[in-house]
Amino acid sequence: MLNPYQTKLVVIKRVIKESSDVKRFVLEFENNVDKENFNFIPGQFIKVSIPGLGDAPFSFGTSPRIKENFEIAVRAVGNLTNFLNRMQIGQRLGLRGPYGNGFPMDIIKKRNVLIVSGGCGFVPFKSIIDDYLIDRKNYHGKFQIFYGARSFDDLLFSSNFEKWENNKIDLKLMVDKEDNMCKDSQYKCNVGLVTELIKNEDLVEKPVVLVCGPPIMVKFVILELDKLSIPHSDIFVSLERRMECGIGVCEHCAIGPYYVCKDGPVFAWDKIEWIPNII
Amino acid sequence: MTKTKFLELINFLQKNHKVYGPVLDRANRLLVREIKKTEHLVLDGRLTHYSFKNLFLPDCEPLFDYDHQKLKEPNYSYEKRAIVGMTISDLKALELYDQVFAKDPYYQERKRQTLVIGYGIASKKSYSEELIYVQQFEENILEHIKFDIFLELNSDKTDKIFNGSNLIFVGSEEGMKVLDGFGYKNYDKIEYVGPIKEEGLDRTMMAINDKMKKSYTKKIWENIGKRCIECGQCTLVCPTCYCFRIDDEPSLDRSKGKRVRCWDACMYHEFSEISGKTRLLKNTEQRMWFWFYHKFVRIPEKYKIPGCVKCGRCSRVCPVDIDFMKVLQDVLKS
Ligand SMILES: Cc1cc2nc3c(=O)[nH]c(=O)nc-3n(C[C@H](O)[C@H](O)[C@H](O)COP(=O)(O)OP(=O)(O)OC[C@H]3O[C@@H](n4cnc5c(N)ncnc54)[C@H](O)[C@@H]3O)c2cc1C
Ligand code: SF4
Ligand code: SF4
Repeated sequence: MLNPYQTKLVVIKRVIKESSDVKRFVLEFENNVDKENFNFIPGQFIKVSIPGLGDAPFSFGTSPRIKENFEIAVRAVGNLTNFLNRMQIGQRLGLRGPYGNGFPMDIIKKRNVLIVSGGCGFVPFKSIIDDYLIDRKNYHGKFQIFYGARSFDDLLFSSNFEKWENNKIDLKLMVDKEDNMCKDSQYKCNVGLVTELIKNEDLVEKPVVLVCGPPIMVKFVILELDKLSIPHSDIFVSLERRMECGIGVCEHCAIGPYYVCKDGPVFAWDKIEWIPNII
Repeated sequence: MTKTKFLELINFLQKNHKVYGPVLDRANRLLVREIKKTEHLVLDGRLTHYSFKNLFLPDCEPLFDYDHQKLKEPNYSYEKRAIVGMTISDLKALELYDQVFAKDPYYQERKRQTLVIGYGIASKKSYSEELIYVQQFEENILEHIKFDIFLELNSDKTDKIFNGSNLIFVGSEEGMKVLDGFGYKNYDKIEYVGPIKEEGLDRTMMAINDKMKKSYTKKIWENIGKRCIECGQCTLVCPTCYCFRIDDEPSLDRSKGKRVRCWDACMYHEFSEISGKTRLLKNTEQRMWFWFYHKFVRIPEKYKIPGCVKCGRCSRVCPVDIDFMKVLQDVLKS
């Protein structure tokens, strides 16, 4: 019987500093069979194991079409993530997964897409955008991104922004406070909450909206989308919960009748909005 | 089968099994322990204080020994055991573990090495409060629970429950082999037909499920939320509470250690905590609702069997006297 808690080994191929507390890791399976058998959908996640510190869930940050390696981006917030962010090229990690349902890619490929995100919640969208850039012929709608963070430095993947814009992605950024870094950049520094972009910008027509970020942001984003009468079945939210097993057994990530690790982390908002204290 | 004969069977099993069953402790509580002497075994119709879950899902069990990044399954051999004295409600809970842990190699191996001997009292007479949970001898119930051997006691006297006519049933090849080896032929075979009766899930259970899904009656949850002191006792004794945490326990050489799986409880604050001390179940009221929702919605929806086996252990241990059956009545009325 396969052991669901066993990990497979990956090697850290590159480490890139994305912001003051976030690092991006390029990971490659040590074993070729593991590499060939590995498939995922944007929005799914893996559990990265560091014996002595446990394991923690992280989203994929690259397109599943890239087979050679994949990336995660990790914010140092606690024990495991701080340790991880001190690790070096050549060191090994254990991982298990992929877990979860992922984003509804068939819908995303057909429709205009609005991504609304804050902070580290942006990582899984990077996976979708990378995929769009590689496979543009199969994406039939427009892409619009509203992305907010504490400061310009905290915006992840900023080295990609120009490429995204050159590929007709409508990118709007938002920071909590204006600083020099933002002023010196080529981008307009909108200051405030990411919800204001929904209020002030022209949205792509009839979008499917993808949301991931801190609960309080999600709450206000939905209030704002409601003013535009966007159907709740067109809003997909990726949720964060505590996860121990990742396979729908340990109960930690349960919400109402669902498990975030298995039935989610991505949910159509109309499916979960009734659950008490969902965000 | 007479009591003497049954105890002889236990003796027979002891030759190549570790035998577990209910024994009394000094405080007169029934606990599940290894049975060294058959006279210690207590089958008097009472439920054990804790359930049998510890024998199937230990409160803490090593999943791996780790050495740097490598995780190795510990190579201990699972002991061959016989567990005696599980009541019908305990056996129903076992069915739930079978499903929840269907793909769990640790549980499955442990289960494979276990001979389950259940028992129940089939009597027309109603027993005292404490016994009422054991009975549940609904019609054809034996077809809907899994066991290897089942002892049915037919007695109207609580102090002499072995004195009526006692029947022996077998529910598996393994059970039959044991009885044949022991030289006892007078048993009936029961064909397991699945956990659910033809008429479907218990009607009250379905009604509670429906109510829980349709509305959040704040008054009910707020009320018990105020009373509960989050001691976690109810989750500890409940046979259908199986949630867990996975922790690492480093040894002195920090690159080595154990990854262990331990019971957790949704009544504890940290249960839903993510980084930054954010707790997604914010208060006792929410945690209470979460507990009930697991038993009465998540389990029946996912596994198509009831998430509460009506053993009543939860109400029995609660230090602030929360009566869980009463809460269910309130839910039904809401
Ligand atoms: C589906 C999903 C995707 C995620 N993707 C990313 C990502 O791409 N980048 C990123 O930086 N972060 C991501 N997170 C959050 C990340 O998992 C946590 O920040 C991390 O688990 C914190 O671990 P720690 O040991 O450093 O924190 P500590 O505060 O020291 O410990 C937290 C404890 O809670 C446990 N735990 C279990 N689940 C979680 C959780 N969801 N959040 C916090 N603690 C948890 C940890 O294992 C640990 O035992 C994601 C979370 C989820 C649920
Ligand atoms: S009666 Fe209480 S202890 Fe027994 S199964 Fe139901 S909830 Fe658990
Ligand atoms: S036993 Fe009673 S007080 Fe303790 S956690 Fe359960 S409901 Fe709360």
